[in-house]
Amino acid sequence: MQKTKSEIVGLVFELVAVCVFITVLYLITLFL
Amino acid sequence: MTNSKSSFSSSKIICYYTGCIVIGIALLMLIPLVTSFLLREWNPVLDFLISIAITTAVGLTLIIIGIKTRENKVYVQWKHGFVVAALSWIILMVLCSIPYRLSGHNNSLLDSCFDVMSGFTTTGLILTQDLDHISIGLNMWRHLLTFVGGQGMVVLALSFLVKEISGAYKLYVGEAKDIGLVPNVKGTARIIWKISLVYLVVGTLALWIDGMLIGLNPVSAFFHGLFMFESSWSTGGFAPNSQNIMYYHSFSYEIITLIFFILGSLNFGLHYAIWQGKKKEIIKNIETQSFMITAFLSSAFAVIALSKIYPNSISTFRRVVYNVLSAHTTTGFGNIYARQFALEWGDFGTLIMVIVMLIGGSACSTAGGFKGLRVGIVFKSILSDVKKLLSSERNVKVFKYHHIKDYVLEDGVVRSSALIIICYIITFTIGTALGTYYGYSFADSAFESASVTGNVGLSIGITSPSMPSVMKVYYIISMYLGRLEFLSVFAMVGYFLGGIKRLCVKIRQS
Repeated sequence: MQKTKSEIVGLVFELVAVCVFITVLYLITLFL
Repeated sequence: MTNSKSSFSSSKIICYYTGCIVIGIALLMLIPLVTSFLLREWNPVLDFLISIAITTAVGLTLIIIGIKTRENKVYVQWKHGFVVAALSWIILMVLCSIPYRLSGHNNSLLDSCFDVMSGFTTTGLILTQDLDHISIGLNMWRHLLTFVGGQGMVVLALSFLVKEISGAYKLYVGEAKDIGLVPNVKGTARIIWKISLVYLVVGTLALWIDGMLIGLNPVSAFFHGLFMFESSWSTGGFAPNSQNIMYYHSFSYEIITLIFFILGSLNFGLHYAIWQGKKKEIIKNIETQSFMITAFLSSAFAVIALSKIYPNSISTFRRVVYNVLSAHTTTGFGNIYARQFALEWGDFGTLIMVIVMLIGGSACSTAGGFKGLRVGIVFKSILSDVKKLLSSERNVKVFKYHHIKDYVLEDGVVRSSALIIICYIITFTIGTALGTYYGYSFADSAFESASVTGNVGLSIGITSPSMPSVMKVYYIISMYLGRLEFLSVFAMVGYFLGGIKRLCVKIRQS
Protein backbone atom coordinates (compact mmCIF):
# COMPACT_ATOMS: atom_id res chain seq x y z
CA MET A 1 0.00 0.00 0.00
CA GLN A 2 2.78 2.39 1.03
CA LYS A 3 4.69 1.45 -2.14
CA THR A 4 1.68 2.14 -4.39
CA LYS A 5 1.08 5.47 -2.64
CA SER A 6 4.72 6.45 -3.15
CA GLU A 7 4.50 5.50 -6.83
CA ILE A 8 1.34 7.57 -7.39
CA VAL A 9 2.92 10.57 -5.63
CA GLY A 10 6.03 10.10 -7.82
CA LEU A 11 3.91 9.95 -10.98
CA VAL A 12 2.02 13.14 -10.07
CA PHE A 13 5.30 14.84 -9.09
CA GLU A 14 6.82 14.03 -12.48
CA LEU A 15 3.78 15.37 -14.34
CA VAL A 16 3.80 18.59 -12.29
CA ALA A 17 7.58 19.02 -12.73
CA VAL A 18 7.30 18.74 -16.53
CA CYS A 19 4.36 21.19 -16.54
CA VAL A 20 6.49 23.69 -14.56
CA PHE A 21 9.35 23.20 -17.04
CA ILE A 22 7.00 23.89 -19.98
CA THR A 23 5.57 26.96 -18.23
CA VAL A 24 9.08 28.37 -17.72
CA LEU A 25 9.80 27.82 -21.41
CA TYR A 26 6.59 29.61 -22.30
CA LEU A 27 7.57 32.55 -20.06
CA ILE A 28 10.96 32.69 -21.81
CA THR A 29 9.11 32.85 -25.15
CA LEU A 30 6.84 35.57 -23.80
CA PHE A 31 9.64 37.81 -22.57
CA LEU A 32 12.23 37.34 -25.32
CA MET B 1 39.84 -27.27 -32.62
CA THR B 2 38.88 -25.50 -29.37
CA ASN B 3 38.13 -22.34 -31.34
CA SER B 4 35.77 -24.10 -33.70
CA LYS B 5 33.99 -25.82 -30.78
CA SER B 6 33.48 -22.58 -28.87
CA SER B 7 32.27 -20.86 -32.04
CA PHE B 8 29.81 -23.69 -32.61
CA SER B 9 28.34 -23.45 -29.12
CA SER B 10 28.32 -19.64 -29.35
CA SER B 11 26.22 -19.91 -32.50
CA LYS B 12 23.74 -22.11 -30.65
CA ILE B 13 23.48 -19.68 -27.74
CA ILE B 14 22.93 -16.79 -30.16
CA CYS B 15 20.34 -18.76 -32.16
CA TYR B 16 18.43 -19.77 -29.02
CA TYR B 17 18.04 -16.28 -27.54
CA THR B 18 17.44 -14.65 -30.93
CA GLY B 19 14.71 -17.27 -31.50
CA CYS B 20 13.09 -16.38 -28.15
CA ILE B 21 12.99 -12.70 -29.13
CA VAL B 22 11.56 -13.55 -32.56
CA ILE B 23 8.80 -15.65 -30.93
CA GLY B 24 8.07 -12.67 -28.65
CA ILE B 25 7.46 -10.49 -31.70
CA ALA B 26 5.28 -13.20 -33.30
CA LEU B 27 3.12 -13.09 -30.15
CA LEU B 28 3.04 -9.29 -30.36
CA MET B 29 1.56 -9.57 -33.86
CA LEU B 30 -1.55 -11.06 -32.23
CA ILE B 31 -2.52 -7.55 -31.03
CA PRO B 32 -2.92 -5.99 -34.52
CA LEU B 33 -4.43 -9.29 -35.71
CA VAL B 34 -7.15 -9.14 -33.03
CA THR B 35 -7.66 -5.40 -33.68
CA SER B 36 -8.17 -6.02 -37.39
CA PHE B 37 -10.45 -8.97 -36.66
CA LEU B 38 -12.66 -6.94 -34.30
CA LEU B 39 -12.84 -4.07 -36.79
CA ARG B 40 -13.56 -6.52 -39.65
CA GLU B 41 -10.53 -5.47 -41.69
CA TRP B 42 -10.20 -8.81 -43.46
CA ASN B 43 -7.21 -8.04 -45.69
CA PRO B 44 -4.99 -7.01 -42.74
CA VAL B 45 -6.22 -10.12 -40.84
CA LEU B 46 -4.80 -12.25 -43.65
CA ASP B 47 -1.59 -10.16 -43.77
CA PHE B 48 -0.99 -10.68 -40.05
CA LEU B 49 -1.83 -14.40 -40.17
CA ILE B 50 0.81 -14.88 -42.90
CA SER B 51 3.32 -12.74 -40.96
CA ILE B 52 2.72 -14.64 -37.71
CA ALA B 53 3.18 -17.99 -39.49
CA ILE B 54 6.50 -16.93 -41.07
CA THR B 55 7.80 -15.27 -37.89
CA THR B 56 6.88 -18.25 -35.71
CA ALA B 57 8.56 -20.64 -38.17
CA VAL B 58 11.77 -18.58 -38.13
CA GLY B 59 11.69 -18.26 -34.32
CA LEU B 60 11.09 -21.96 -33.72
CA THR B 61 13.84 -22.93 -36.19
CA LEU B 62 16.32 -20.74 -34.32
CA ILE B 63 15.22 -22.14 -30.95
CA ILE B 64 15.49 -25.75 -32.20
CA ILE B 65 19.03 -25.06 -33.52
CA GLY B 66 20.07 -23.76 -30.11
CA ILE B 67 17.87 -25.96 -27.89
CA LYS B 68 20.94 -27.47 -26.16
CA THR B 69 21.61 -24.02 -24.68
CA ARG B 70 18.51 -24.42 -22.55
CA GLU B 71 19.22 -28.01 -21.59
CA ASN B 72 22.86 -27.33 -20.64
CA LYS B 73 22.16 -23.93 -18.99
CA VAL B 74 25.09 -22.38 -20.87
CA TYR B 75 26.63 -19.21 -19.46
CA VAL B 76 25.99 -16.14 -21.62
CA GLN B 77 29.11 -14.11 -22.35
CA TRP B 78 29.34 -10.42 -23.26
CA LYS B 79 29.84 -11.24 -26.96
CA HIS B 80 26.65 -13.34 -26.97
CA GLY B 81 24.61 -10.52 -25.43
CA PHE B 82 25.82 -7.96 -27.92
CA VAL B 83 25.45 -10.23 -30.96
CA VAL B 84 21.93 -11.39 -29.92
CA ALA B 85 20.78 -7.77 -29.52
CA ALA B 86 22.27 -6.59 -32.81
CA LEU B 87 21.22 -9.69 -34.80
CA SER B 88 17.66 -9.70 -33.42
CA TRP B 89 17.09 -6.16 -34.64
CA ILE B 90 18.11 -7.10 -38.21
CA ILE B 91 16.04 -10.32 -38.32
CA LEU B 92 13.04 -8.55 -36.78
CA MET B 93 13.33 -5.67 -39.23
CA VAL B 94 12.74 -8.11 -42.11
CA LEU B 95 10.04 -10.17 -40.35
CA CYS B 96 8.10 -7.16 -39.06
CA SER B 97 8.10 -5.58 -42.52
CA ILE B 98 5.95 -8.43 -43.93
CA PRO B 99 2.57 -6.85 -42.91
CA TYR B 100 3.76 -3.52 -44.37
CA ARG B 101 4.73 -5.10 -47.66
CA LEU B 102 1.54 -7.17 -47.88
CA SER B 103 -0.60 -4.06 -47.24
CA GLY B 104 0.52 -2.59 -50.57
CA HIS B 105 1.37 0.80 -49.04
CA ASN B 106 5.09 0.45 -49.76
CA ASN B 107 6.82 0.43 -53.13
CA SER B 108 9.36 -2.21 -52.16
CA LEU B 109 10.59 -4.44 -49.34
CA LEU B 110 13.38 -1.89 -48.78
CA ASP B 111 10.77 0.81 -48.09
CA SER B 112 8.96 -1.54 -45.69
CA CYS B 113 12.24 -2.36 -43.90
CA PHE B 114 12.99 1.38 -43.68
CA ASP B 115 9.64 2.03 -41.97
CA VAL B 116 10.10 -0.88 -39.56
CA MET B 117 13.62 0.20 -38.61
CA SER B 118 12.31 3.74 -38.22
CA GLY B 119 9.63 2.39 -35.87
CA PHE B 120 11.90 0.10 -33.85
CA THR B 121 14.53 2.78 -33.38
CA THR B 122 11.79 5.30 -32.46
CA THR B 123 12.91 7.53 -35.32
CA GLY B 124 9.57 8.23 -37.00
CA LEU B 125 10.54 8.87 -40.63
CA ILE B 126 8.19 7.14 -43.06
CA LEU B 127 8.14 5.92 -46.64
CA THR B 128 4.63 4.45 -46.35
CA GLN B 129 2.34 5.96 -48.96
CA ASP B 130 -1.27 7.07 -48.58
CA LEU B 131 -0.93 7.02 -44.79
CA ASP B 132 -4.41 8.48 -44.31
CA HIS B 133 -6.00 5.34 -45.75
CA ILE B 134 -4.08 2.54 -44.07
CA SER B 135 -6.01 0.08 -41.90
CA ILE B 136 -6.31 0.53 -38.13
CA GLY B 137 -4.66 -2.89 -37.76
CA LEU B 138 -1.53 -1.74 -39.62
CA ASN B 139 -1.58 1.55 -37.70
CA MET B 140 -1.74 -0.47 -34.48
CA TRP B 141 1.28 -2.47 -35.69
CA ARG B 142 3.27 0.68 -36.62
CA HIS B 143 2.71 2.29 -33.23
CA LEU B 144 3.19 -0.93 -31.31
CA LEU B 145 6.59 -1.36 -32.99
CA THR B 146 7.66 2.10 -31.94
CA PHE B 147 6.36 1.54 -28.38
CA VAL B 148 8.16 -1.79 -28.03
CA GLY B 149 11.28 -0.42 -29.75
CA GLY B 150 11.42 2.39 -27.20
CA GLN B 151 11.45 -0.01 -24.29
CA GLY B 152 13.60 -2.51 -26.20
CA MET B 153 12.82 -5.88 -27.74
CA VAL B 154 15.39 -7.67 -25.58
CA VAL B 155 13.86 -6.02 -22.50
CA LEU B 156 10.46 -7.31 -23.64
CA ALA B 157 11.76 -10.84 -24.11
CA LEU B 158 13.59 -10.78 -20.77
CA SER B 159 10.46 -9.55 -19.01
CA PHE B 160 7.98 -12.06 -20.25
CA LEU B 161 9.62 -14.92 -22.15
CA VAL B 162 13.14 -15.79 -21.02
CA LYS B 163 13.50 -17.39 -17.61
CA GLU B 164 16.17 -15.85 -15.36
CA ILE B 165 19.47 -16.88 -16.90
CA SER B 166 23.05 -16.52 -15.84
CA GLY B 167 24.48 -13.54 -17.70
CA ALA B 168 21.09 -12.08 -18.68
CA TYR B 169 22.54 -8.64 -17.94
CA LYS B 170 24.72 -8.99 -21.04
CA LEU B 171 21.69 -9.38 -23.30
CA TYR B 172 20.15 -6.35 -21.67
CA VAL B 173 23.26 -4.15 -22.00
CA GLY B 174 23.55 -5.23 -25.63
CA GLU B 175 20.46 -3.16 -26.34
CA ALA B 176 22.02 -0.01 -24.84
CA LYS B 177 19.98 -0.29 -21.63
CA ASP B 178 22.71 -0.38 -19.06
CA ILE B 179 21.10 0.62 -15.81
CA GLY B 180 20.31 -1.85 -13.05
CA LEU B 181 17.21 -0.65 -11.20
CA VAL B 182 17.19 -3.76 -9.01
CA PRO B 183 19.91 -6.46 -8.73
CA ASN B 184 17.79 -8.86 -10.76
CA VAL B 185 17.82 -8.11 -14.53
CA LYS B 186 14.37 -9.58 -15.08
CA GLY B 187 13.11 -7.33 -12.27
CA THR B 188 14.72 -4.30 -13.95
CA ALA B 189 13.10 -5.18 -17.29
CA ARG B 190 9.72 -5.55 -15.58
CA ILE B 191 10.08 -2.17 -13.83
CA ILE B 192 10.78 -0.54 -17.22
CA TRP B 193 7.57 -2.10 -18.56
CA LYS B 194 5.58 -1.22 -15.45
CA ILE B 195 6.53 2.48 -15.74
CA SER B 196 5.70 2.49 -19.46
CA LEU B 197 2.36 0.72 -19.01
CA VAL B 198 1.26 3.03 -16.17
CA TYR B 199 2.03 6.02 -18.38
CA LEU B 200 0.28 4.28 -21.28
CA VAL B 201 -2.97 4.27 -19.29
CA VAL B 202 -2.57 7.87 -18.03
CA GLY B 203 -1.45 9.28 -21.39
CA THR B 204 -4.01 7.47 -23.54
CA LEU B 205 -6.78 8.58 -21.18
CA ALA B 206 -5.66 12.23 -21.33
CA LEU B 207 -5.41 12.21 -25.14
CA TRP B 208 -8.69 10.28 -25.49
CA ILE B 209 -10.59 12.88 -23.46
CA ASP B 210 -8.87 15.74 -25.27
CA GLY B 211 -9.56 14.08 -28.63
CA MET B 212 -13.28 14.00 -27.84
CA LEU B 213 -13.17 17.63 -26.71
CA ILE B 214 -11.67 18.71 -30.03
CA GLY B 215 -14.41 16.92 -31.96
CA LEU B 216 -13.28 13.36 -32.68
CA ASN B 217 -15.85 10.61 -32.14
CA PRO B 218 -15.14 8.41 -29.06
CA VAL B 219 -13.78 5.38 -30.95
CA SER B 220 -11.61 7.47 -33.24
CA ALA B 221 -10.43 9.61 -30.28
CA PHE B 222 -9.42 6.44 -28.44
CA PHE B 223 -7.30 5.08 -31.30
CA HIS B 224 -5.76 8.50 -31.98
CA GLY B 225 -5.04 8.87 -28.25
CA LEU B 226 -3.46 5.43 -28.01
CA PHE B 227 -1.32 5.86 -31.13
CA MET B 228 -0.20 9.39 -30.29
CA PHE B 229 0.67 8.38 -26.72
CA GLU B 230 2.73 5.42 -27.94
CA SER B 231 4.59 7.75 -30.29
CA SER B 232 5.07 10.45 -27.64
CA TRP B 233 6.26 8.20 -24.84
CA SER B 234 8.59 6.28 -27.16
CA THR B 235 9.85 9.58 -28.58
CA GLY B 236 8.89 7.98 -31.89
CA GLY B 237 7.14 10.58 -33.99
CA PHE B 238 4.76 8.33 -35.91
CA ALA B 239 1.20 9.56 -36.29
CA PRO B 240 -1.86 7.81 -37.73
CA ASN B 241 -2.15 10.46 -40.47
CA SER B 242 0.11 12.18 -42.98
CA GLN B 243 -0.24 15.62 -41.33
CA ASN B 244 1.37 14.32 -38.13
CA ILE B 245 0.48 16.46 -35.07
CA MET B 246 -0.80 19.26 -37.36
CA TYR B 247 -3.86 17.10 -38.10
CA TYR B 248 -5.39 17.98 -34.72
CA HIS B 249 -5.00 21.80 -34.94
CA SER B 250 -5.07 21.80 -31.16
CA PHE B 251 -2.83 23.55 -28.64
CA SER B 252 -4.07 21.29 -25.83
CA TYR B 253 -3.28 18.14 -27.85
CA GLU B 254 0.22 19.50 -28.53
CA ILE B 255 0.79 20.30 -24.83
CA ILE B 256 -0.27 16.80 -23.73
CA THR B 257 2.05 15.17 -26.26
CA LEU B 258 4.81 17.58 -25.18
CA ILE B 259 4.45 16.48 -21.54
CA PHE B 260 4.65 12.80 -22.44
CA PHE B 261 7.54 13.03 -24.88
CA ILE B 262 9.61 14.98 -22.34
CA LEU B 263 8.80 12.30 -19.76
CA GLY B 264 9.62 9.58 -22.29
CA SER B 265 13.03 11.11 -22.93
CA LEU B 266 13.98 10.80 -19.24
CA ASN B 267 16.02 7.92 -17.88
CA PHE B 268 14.01 4.95 -16.55
CA GLY B 269 16.34 5.03 -13.54
CA LEU B 270 15.20 8.58 -12.84
CA HIS B 271 11.51 7.62 -13.10
CA TYR B 272 12.11 4.73 -10.74
CA ALA B 273 14.04 6.88 -8.25
CA ILE B 274 11.23 9.48 -8.19
CA TRP B 275 8.61 6.78 -7.80
CA GLN B 276 10.65 5.50 -4.86
CA GLY B 277 10.36 8.92 -3.21
CA LYS B 278 13.75 10.41 -4.24
CA LYS B 279 12.25 13.60 -5.67
CA LYS B 280 15.44 15.68 -5.42
CA GLU B 281 16.94 13.41 -8.07
CA ILE B 282 15.20 15.48 -10.75
CA ILE B 283 17.39 18.48 -9.86
CA LYS B 284 20.59 16.68 -8.79
CA ASN B 285 20.89 14.28 -11.74
CA ILE B 286 23.59 15.26 -14.26
CA GLU B 287 21.28 14.21 -17.12
CA THR B 288 18.35 16.41 -16.16
CA GLN B 289 20.75 19.30 -15.49
CA SER B 290 22.30 18.81 -18.92
CA PHE B 291 18.85 18.52 -20.58
CA MET B 292 17.50 21.63 -18.85
CA ILE B 293 20.52 23.74 -19.81
CA THR B 294 20.54 22.66 -23.47
CA ALA B 295 16.72 22.85 -23.76
CA PHE B 296 16.58 26.37 -22.28
CA LEU B 297 19.52 27.62 -24.37
CA SER B 298 18.36 26.11 -27.67
CA SER B 299 14.76 27.27 -27.14
CA ALA B 300 15.89 30.78 -26.20
CA PHE B 301 18.21 31.12 -29.23
CA ALA B 302 15.55 29.72 -31.56
CA VAL B 303 12.89 32.08 -30.15
CA ILE B 304 15.22 35.10 -30.53
CA ALA B 305 16.04 34.14 -34.12
CA LEU B 306 12.57 33.11 -35.27
CA SER B 307 10.05 35.15 -33.26
CA LYS B 308 9.79 37.65 -36.16
CA ILE B 309 8.24 34.95 -38.35
CA TYR B 310 5.32 34.29 -36.01
CA PRO B 311 2.63 36.81 -34.98
CA ASN B 312 2.51 36.25 -31.19
CA SER B 313 4.08 34.40 -28.26
CA ILE B 314 1.60 31.48 -28.34
CA SER B 315 2.28 30.95 -32.03
CA THR B 316 6.06 31.21 -31.45
CA PHE B 317 5.84 28.73 -28.56
CA ARG B 318 3.79 26.28 -30.62
CA ARG B 319 5.89 26.48 -33.78
CA VAL B 320 9.39 27.08 -32.39
CA VAL B 321 9.69 25.72 -28.83
CA TYR B 322 7.51 22.68 -29.58
CA ASN B 323 9.64 21.71 -32.59
CA VAL B 324 12.93 22.38 -30.78
CA LEU B 325 11.82 20.17 -27.85
CA SER B 326 10.47 17.56 -30.26
CA ALA B 327 13.94 17.49 -31.87
CA HIS B 328 15.81 17.58 -28.54
CA THR B 329 13.85 14.69 -27.06
CA THR B 330 14.28 12.93 -30.46
CA THR B 331 10.50 12.60 -30.83
CA GLY B 332 9.96 14.02 -34.30
CA PHE B 333 6.43 15.40 -34.07
CA GLY B 334 6.41 18.39 -36.38
CA ASN B 335 3.71 21.04 -36.43
CA ILE B 336 5.13 22.88 -39.44
CA TYR B 337 5.61 21.46 -42.93
CA ALA B 338 8.99 19.87 -43.71
CA ARG B 339 10.05 22.54 -46.21
CA GLN B 340 9.26 25.33 -43.74
CA PHE B 341 12.39 24.35 -41.80
CA ALA B 342 14.47 25.14 -44.87
CA LEU B 343 12.50 28.03 -46.30
CA GLU B 344 11.40 29.90 -43.15
CA TRP B 345 13.79 28.89 -40.39
CA GLY B 346 16.96 29.49 -42.40
CA ASP B 347 20.49 28.31 -41.63
CA PHE B 348 20.57 29.39 -37.97
CA GLY B 349 17.30 27.61 -37.18
CA THR B 350 18.55 24.51 -39.00
CA LEU B 351 21.84 24.61 -37.05
CA ILE B 352 20.02 24.71 -33.70
CA MET B 353 17.87 21.77 -34.77
CA VAL B 354 20.91 19.75 -35.93
CA ILE B 355 22.70 20.32 -32.60
CA VAL B 356 19.74 19.37 -30.39
CA MET B 357 18.87 16.36 -32.59
CA LEU B 358 22.41 15.03 -32.15
CA ILE B 359 22.42 15.63 -28.37
CA GLY B 360 19.09 13.83 -27.86
CA GLY B 361 17.52 12.72 -24.60
CA SER B 362 18.65 10.59 -21.65
CA ALA B 363 20.57 7.32 -21.59
CA CYS B 364 18.42 4.26 -20.82
CA SER B 365 15.30 6.04 -21.96
CA THR B 366 13.28 5.75 -25.15
CA ALA B 367 15.19 8.68 -26.69
CA GLY B 368 18.07 8.66 -29.19
CA GLY B 369 21.03 10.95 -29.82
CA PHE B 370 24.36 10.74 -28.02
CA LYS B 371 22.53 11.55 -24.78
CA GLY B 372 22.65 14.27 -22.16
CA LEU B 373 24.57 12.03 -19.77
CA ARG B 374 27.56 11.88 -22.11
CA VAL B 375 27.41 15.62 -22.81
CA GLY B 376 27.35 16.23 -19.05
CA ILE B 377 30.28 13.86 -18.39
CA VAL B 378 32.46 15.33 -21.15
CA PHE B 379 31.62 18.90 -20.11
CA LYS B 380 32.34 18.09 -16.45
CA SER B 381 35.68 16.46 -17.37
CA ILE B 382 36.72 19.59 -19.31
CA LEU B 383 35.74 21.68 -16.28
CA SER B 384 37.69 19.40 -13.91
CA ASP B 385 40.77 19.54 -16.17
CA VAL B 386 40.67 23.34 -16.10
CA LYS B 387 40.27 23.30 -12.31
CA LYS B 388 43.24 20.91 -12.00
CA LEU B 389 45.36 23.25 -14.12
CA LEU B 390 44.47 26.24 -11.97
CA SER B 391 44.85 24.53 -8.58
CA SER B 392 48.04 23.68 -6.75
CA GLU B 393 49.87 20.57 -7.96
CA ARG B 394 49.84 19.19 -4.40
CA ASN B 395 46.05 19.15 -4.31
CA VAL B 396 44.59 15.85 -5.35
CA LYS B 397 40.90 16.41 -5.88
CA VAL B 398 38.42 13.71 -6.84
CA PHE B 399 35.70 14.93 -9.20
CA LYS B 400 32.27 13.32 -9.08
CA TYR B 401 28.99 13.43 -10.93
CA HIS B 402 25.54 12.44 -9.76
CA HIS B 403 23.43 10.02 -11.76
CA ILE B 404 21.02 8.23 -9.40
CA LYS B 405 24.06 7.86 -7.11
CA ASP B 406 27.47 9.54 -6.94
CA TYR B 407 30.13 8.33 -9.38
CA VAL B 408 33.79 9.26 -9.55
CA LEU B 409 34.62 10.97 -12.84
CA GLU B 410 37.14 8.37 -14.06
CA ASP B 411 39.16 8.63 -17.26
CA GLY B 412 37.59 5.42 -18.60
CA VAL B 413 34.05 6.84 -18.32
CA VAL B 414 35.09 10.08 -20.03
CA ARG B 415 36.90 8.14 -22.78
CA SER B 416 33.93 5.85 -23.53
CA SER B 417 31.53 8.83 -23.52
CA ALA B 418 33.77 10.78 -25.90
CA LEU B 419 34.18 7.70 -28.11
CA ILE B 420 30.41 7.25 -28.52
CA ILE B 421 30.01 10.97 -29.31
CA ILE B 422 32.74 10.68 -31.98
CA CYS B 423 31.01 7.62 -33.48
CA TYR B 424 27.74 9.59 -33.71
CA ILE B 425 29.51 12.53 -35.35
CA ILE B 426 31.24 10.27 -37.90
CA THR B 427 27.90 8.60 -38.79
CA PHE B 428 26.25 12.01 -39.08
CA THR B 429 29.09 13.36 -41.26
CA ILE B 430 28.93 10.41 -43.68
CA GLY B 431 25.14 10.86 -43.95
CA THR B 432 25.57 14.56 -44.68
CA ALA B 433 28.23 13.85 -47.30
CA LEU B 434 25.98 11.25 -48.94
CA GLY B 435 23.11 13.74 -49.12
CA THR B 436 25.28 16.39 -50.76
CA TYR B 437 26.65 13.75 -53.18
CA TYR B 438 23.09 13.06 -54.37
CA GLY B 439 22.48 16.74 -54.99
CA TYR B 440 20.71 17.93 -51.83
CA SER B 441 21.89 21.17 -50.21
CA PHE B 442 24.39 20.97 -47.34
CA ALA B 443 21.90 22.31 -44.76
CA ASP B 444 19.15 19.90 -45.87
CA SER B 445 21.57 16.94 -45.89
CA ALA B 446 22.86 17.83 -42.40
CA PHE B 447 19.32 18.20 -41.02
CA GLU B 448 18.16 14.84 -42.39
CA SER B 449 21.38 13.08 -41.39
CA ALA B 450 21.13 14.41 -37.81
CA SER B 451 17.49 13.30 -37.75
CA VAL B 452 18.32 9.67 -38.65
CA THR B 453 21.52 9.44 -36.58
CA GLY B 454 19.78 10.85 -33.50
CA ASN B 455 16.63 8.73 -34.12
CA VAL B 456 14.53 11.89 -34.28
CA GLY B 457 12.22 11.64 -37.30
CA LEU B 458 11.80 15.27 -38.30
CA SER B 459 12.28 15.71 -42.02
CA ILE B 460 13.32 18.65 -44.11
CA GLY B 461 11.90 16.98 -47.20
CA ILE B 462 14.62 14.54 -48.26
CA THR B 463 13.05 11.32 -46.94
CA SER B 464 10.54 10.14 -49.51
CA PRO B 465 9.91 6.95 -51.51
CA SER B 466 11.69 8.57 -54.47
CA MET B 467 15.01 9.19 -52.72
CA PRO B 468 18.00 7.10 -53.88
CA SER B 469 18.09 3.51 -52.56
CA VAL B 470 21.68 3.99 -51.35
CA MET B 471 20.44 6.76 -49.06
CA LYS B 472 17.58 4.58 -47.81
CA VAL B 473 20.07 1.81 -46.94
CA TYR B 474 22.46 4.25 -45.26
CA TYR B 475 19.63 5.83 -43.26
CA ILE B 476 18.55 2.34 -42.09
CA ILE B 477 22.14 1.61 -40.97
CA SER B 478 22.37 5.03 -39.36
CA MET B 479 19.14 4.59 -37.37
CA TYR B 480 20.25 1.12 -36.30
CA LEU B 481 23.74 2.23 -35.22
CA GLY B 482 22.35 5.26 -33.40
CA ARG B 483 19.81 3.22 -31.49
CA LEU B 484 22.14 0.41 -30.39
CA GLU B 485 24.91 2.93 -29.68
CA PHE B 486 27.45 1.21 -31.95
CA LEU B 487 28.99 -1.29 -29.53
CA SER B 488 26.60 -4.20 -30.19
CA VAL B 489 26.81 -3.75 -33.95
CA PHE B 490 30.63 -3.61 -33.85
CA ALA B 491 30.61 -6.78 -31.71
CA MET B 492 28.31 -8.54 -34.21
CA VAL B 493 30.45 -7.52 -37.20
CA GLY B 494 33.60 -8.66 -35.32
CA TYR B 495 31.93 -11.96 -34.42
CA PHE B 496 30.95 -12.73 -38.02
CA LEU B 497 34.32 -11.59 -39.43
CA GLY B 498 36.02 -13.88 -36.87
CA GLY B 499 33.80 -16.75 -38.05
CA ILE B 500 34.64 -16.09 -41.71
CA LYS B 501 38.37 -15.93 -40.87
CA ARG B 502 38.21 -19.28 -39.05
CA LEU B 503 36.32 -20.81 -41.97
CA CYS B 504 38.95 -19.55 -44.45
CA VAL B 505 41.76 -21.03 -42.31
CA LYS B 506 39.89 -24.35 -42.15
CA ILE B 507 39.39 -24.43 -45.95
CA ARG B 508 43.05 -23.59 -46.53
CA GLN B 509 44.18 -26.35 -44.14
CA SER B 510 41.95 -28.97 -45.77
